[in-house]
Amino acid sequence: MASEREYEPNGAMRFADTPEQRALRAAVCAFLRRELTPEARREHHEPDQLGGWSVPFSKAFHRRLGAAGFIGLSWPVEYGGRGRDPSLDAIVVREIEYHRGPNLDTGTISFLPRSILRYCDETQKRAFLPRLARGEIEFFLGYSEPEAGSDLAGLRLRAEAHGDTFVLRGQKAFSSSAHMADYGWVAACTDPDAPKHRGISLFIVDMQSPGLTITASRTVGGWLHHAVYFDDVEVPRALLVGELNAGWRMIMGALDHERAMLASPGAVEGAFDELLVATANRAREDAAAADLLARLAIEAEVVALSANWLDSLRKAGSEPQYETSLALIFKRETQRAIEAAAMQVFGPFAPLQAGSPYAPAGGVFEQDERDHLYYHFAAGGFDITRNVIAARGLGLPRD
Amino acid sequence: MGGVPVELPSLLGEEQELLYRNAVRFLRERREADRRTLWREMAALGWLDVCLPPALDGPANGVLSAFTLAEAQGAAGVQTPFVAAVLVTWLLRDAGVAEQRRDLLIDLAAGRVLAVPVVVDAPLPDRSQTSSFTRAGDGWRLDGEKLFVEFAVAADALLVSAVTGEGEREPALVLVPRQAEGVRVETLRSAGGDYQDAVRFASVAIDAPLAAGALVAEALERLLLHGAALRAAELAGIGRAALDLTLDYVRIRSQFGRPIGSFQAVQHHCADMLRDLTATRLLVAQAAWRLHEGLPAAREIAMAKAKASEAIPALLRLAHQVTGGVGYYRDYPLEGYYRRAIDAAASYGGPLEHRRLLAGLAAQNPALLRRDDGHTVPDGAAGGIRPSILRPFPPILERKGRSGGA
Repeated sequence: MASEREYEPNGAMRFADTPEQRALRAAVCAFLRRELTPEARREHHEPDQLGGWSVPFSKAFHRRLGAAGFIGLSWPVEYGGRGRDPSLDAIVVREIEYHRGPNLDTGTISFLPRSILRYCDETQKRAFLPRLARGEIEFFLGYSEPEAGSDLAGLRLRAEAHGDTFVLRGQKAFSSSAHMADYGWVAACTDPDAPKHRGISLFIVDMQSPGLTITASRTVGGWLHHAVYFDDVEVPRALLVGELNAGWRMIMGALDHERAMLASPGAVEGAFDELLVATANRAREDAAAADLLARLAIEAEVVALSANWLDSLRKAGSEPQYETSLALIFKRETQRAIEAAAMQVFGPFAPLQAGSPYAPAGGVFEQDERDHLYYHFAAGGFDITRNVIAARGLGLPRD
Repeated sequence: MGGVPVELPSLLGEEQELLYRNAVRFLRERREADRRTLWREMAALGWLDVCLPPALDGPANGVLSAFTLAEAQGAAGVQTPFVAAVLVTWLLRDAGVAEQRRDLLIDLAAGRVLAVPVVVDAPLPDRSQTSSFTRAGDGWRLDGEKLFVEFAVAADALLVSAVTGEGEREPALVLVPRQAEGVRVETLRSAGGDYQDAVRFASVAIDAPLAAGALVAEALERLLLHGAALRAAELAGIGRAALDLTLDYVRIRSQFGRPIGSFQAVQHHCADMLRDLTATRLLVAQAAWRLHEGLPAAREIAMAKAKASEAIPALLRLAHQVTGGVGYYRDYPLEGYYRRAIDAAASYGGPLEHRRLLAGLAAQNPALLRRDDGHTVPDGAAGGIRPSILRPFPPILERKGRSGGA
């Protein structure tokens, strides 16, 4: 049919990359292909790490990513960024996920710097953003505790003020990448007498500080997850973020950016492509497998479109209410569906692990199937996220 | 308690959002109107202008507006021949006879004439496909039976697909006056209402076909996809209305001393309804955009219809689960939406047919299932083994280093 390219509907979402986005994607992919070769994957393999890349390689990769100019594309130039469109930063995250690059899921290159830009003072911004842009430092997110998961406001890590210093006592748990981090973005209770949402503050903690102990637990995925113990750890007032006792608002404000990053389609796109390759031309002979792939293709398409949708909302200046939560559900449910399909479609070979003879696709689906159990409960999982959608998207009263 | 209904601005831009709101409001107000009157009013509002292709001075955003109006119809819970009329226009255009038939198209757009597509063959007892054909004798005669014809009873003209002659049996399009001798219409009673008919042709004298040959064959294939796409849009509208009804209900209905919308199970169901609706809307919007841009859209339409046909009925079931006994009765509007969802889900192909279409793409080349995202995926090696439990399917490929980037 005749195309009506002269007519551009105002305010419509985009369905395809802009030339700028396409160009960046190509550049990032070229970089990642050079970095993340099969040889590199073998040489720098570390099963104790989520994603399998060793700590030294991850850090070196992070620096090279920064040196190549792929971190902070949308941050202000005065802090080491390039002042470009935020969709470009999302593309970098997406492609690292697609190519199974080193795990940078702490948001160190995405939503955390956004929080720094929004909530930190000038001194703090200048102290951290340029180094983050160069890939020289990493943060871990110190929110959850053994007794404070879904009910984060019930956290108990105590920060007591002593003049110009705060003394932190307590514990953080499920602290992804804490063992590798240079700094912690830590939520602590600074007023135990206040209603819990009003007594929380955010601190930047130097992980070299005396009094910090990091322990490890082996996960179902075989890698180590960490907890951090604070034994009278001193944090200068200069590293208090924003106002005292105003931490909850900042945590909530950052959540949608975190969700948007976690909702990146990259992992889904990568896993679906891997499944297509591993099932080869099976669709021709196996109608059930063909139908399964068709179903997954539809779900994967929704995940990709939801990233475009979030981007269009951001461009229109809308504050997301439920959309990032919904995008997160799409991404994680689809990822799980791909893994479940892989467990079915490879028959008796499905449970064979990486390194075993006859392991399909190098065992990646089997590993993902175990790893991504955390999708069900982390960062709101499937249940809390639905609560958020109901409350903020549908206006339903809290239970 | 209480709250603002969920805002779902059109994914196709501000103009479409405005059109949608106006259309829903108008159709709901005119729900009880006589059909002919309603049709003329829709024409007076300019909605039927989307039936005019841009080449005949139709609006530049006609495709997008067609989708929006189909969705609005679904949301308003009103059946009109709008989709049928749009499909006729696009069929005439794709068959290359739009210019030839400009008078008909102009009359259609003005609401003076209603023409509907007549393309689905009734199956014959011997399971052969085509049940209608034209033959030249002392002129042309049309015989056969067609099904799922929308609003045949009310139509002035029937645009019929038939097979020509004894020799080549080429697909052809013929225009038949509804009132012609030998045309018999029997209403098909469907879950969603009585707006579809079976039409029998018994030696109906007709003019020469408008068009015949490969172009008509392609045009008919595209009509099936266009029909699926517009139905998917209707389904999105149906889902939206059902969600709104459900939210209204759960905010007001109280049990155990509080609104049932405050119970977590109910909230999760509503969240799942929004999830299913959003997935449908994203895919439908993409299909609409691709047709608007003149891009190939078979893959995207199949995805939209497969998803809509599954997700919206699922949404309706959850809506009924949550609204309980109240929603079960015909004096509450929800069950009407549910029944129309059943119809729309089955019309122009449901989940099985459209996933089969996608699977067919995968069988040709798995990469055809993929989105054009700048990555390339190597073709897999051939399979070639009949699997069994004792001789399982060998998917044993070494993990490929994925190539990426343009």
